[in-house]
Amino acid sequence: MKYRVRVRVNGEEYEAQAEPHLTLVTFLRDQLGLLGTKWGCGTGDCGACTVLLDGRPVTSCMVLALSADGREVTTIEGLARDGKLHPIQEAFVEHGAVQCGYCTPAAILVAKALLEETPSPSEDEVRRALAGVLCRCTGYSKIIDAVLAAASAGR
Amino acid sequence: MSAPDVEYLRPSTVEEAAALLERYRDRAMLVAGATDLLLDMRFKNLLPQCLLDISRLPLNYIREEDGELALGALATIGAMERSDLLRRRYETLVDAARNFGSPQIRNLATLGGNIGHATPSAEMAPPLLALDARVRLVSARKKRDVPLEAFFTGPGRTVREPDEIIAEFRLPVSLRSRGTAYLRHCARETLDIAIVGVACSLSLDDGERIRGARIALGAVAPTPIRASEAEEVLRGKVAEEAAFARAAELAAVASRPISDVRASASYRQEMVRVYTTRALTLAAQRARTGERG
Repeated sequence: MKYRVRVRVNGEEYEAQAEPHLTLVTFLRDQLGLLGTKWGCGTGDCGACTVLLDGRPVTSCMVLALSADGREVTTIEGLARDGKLHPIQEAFVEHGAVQCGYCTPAAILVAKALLEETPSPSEDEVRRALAGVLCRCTGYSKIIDAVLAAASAGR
Repeated sequence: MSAPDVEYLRPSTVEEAAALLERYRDRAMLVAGATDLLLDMRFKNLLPQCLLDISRLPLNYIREEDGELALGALATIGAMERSDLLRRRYETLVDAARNFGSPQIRNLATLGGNIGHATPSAEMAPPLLALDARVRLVSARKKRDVPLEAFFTGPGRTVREPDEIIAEFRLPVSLRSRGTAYLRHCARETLDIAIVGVACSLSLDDGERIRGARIALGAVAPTPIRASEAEEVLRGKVAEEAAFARAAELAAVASRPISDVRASASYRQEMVRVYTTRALTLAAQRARTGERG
């Protein structure tokens, strides 16, 4: 049986039908066509499917689509404005923090949530925030550089 | 997962949820943070007749009331990590929350789920044991409190009846002279399951003599356990290395670890000794410096 789900994604209201066992990552990708959110391990370990749920990072493979009903989701597609990249995205480009790109949406969303709560994080705080985003290109240093640079630019 | 029809129900009150659970009992699976549930559905091929989503029940709180600390079952591990109240007065819970899973999982996983799922390594269990927590279970029939010590019966097993919901945890309020800590041993710093976890609580008279102690161990027995003999030997002793070393030996003896992919039984037992000493030292330091408001 399918149930109705109403969810606000990147500021836009969506109404759809979803099976009870459908996860949020599959809902976003297959039903809403938002392919920026990546499907990685499917077990909540790698962090590639990270989205912001009511402003906080969560692994969307560990969320039922129906549980997101009435809540607010931000995906990587929600960051650029009028064709202009978000400052954190700019910083990732400038610092070469994107290699294969698979973890990039997650890393940027985690950074966004971090900088909203802690505008001037220490390097340790950045590392702790990124602990749940695995980069198999192992380009962690440049990701950390980019987040710290975005933080100083925002000051 | 392709599936026969699964029902999805999302009650908004505890009474409603209890009535539904009374009807479905173990044909329903509870959805809160869902981080354990979705893994079970995928790897154990569990597909319930009904997913009972309790995530909207008003059980998401962290507060002191009636001389107790009340932790709603839906409080997330992330909320506990960020709680000023817990950081000031119940440090052991924050120590454990900070080490739990990943930040993204902490924003989903709930305290009720972590305890209800009852893995021997459940991160939040040793701190709650060290703080004398009680589990409040609610069903359509009754409401009852169970000491956490009597709650676990084996790996993944508890005394919770199929129609009961874990509603909250209640703990005695912190005393000013008390210090608590939780330390874990892991192969890597984050995203890992503890090889050994040790929580302790020390109440000191005049910053010196131990009035009371609690020591709880995770991942070294079929359930999280208290090390009662180690607690006893500390009572009335001066809070210093000699007493801690003796208690740590007794804690190691109390543990009944297994050998698995993470560590051998004998290594785990030795780590219980090492981490008990360290956790007691940290708790005593916190009791003396009064890291609290």
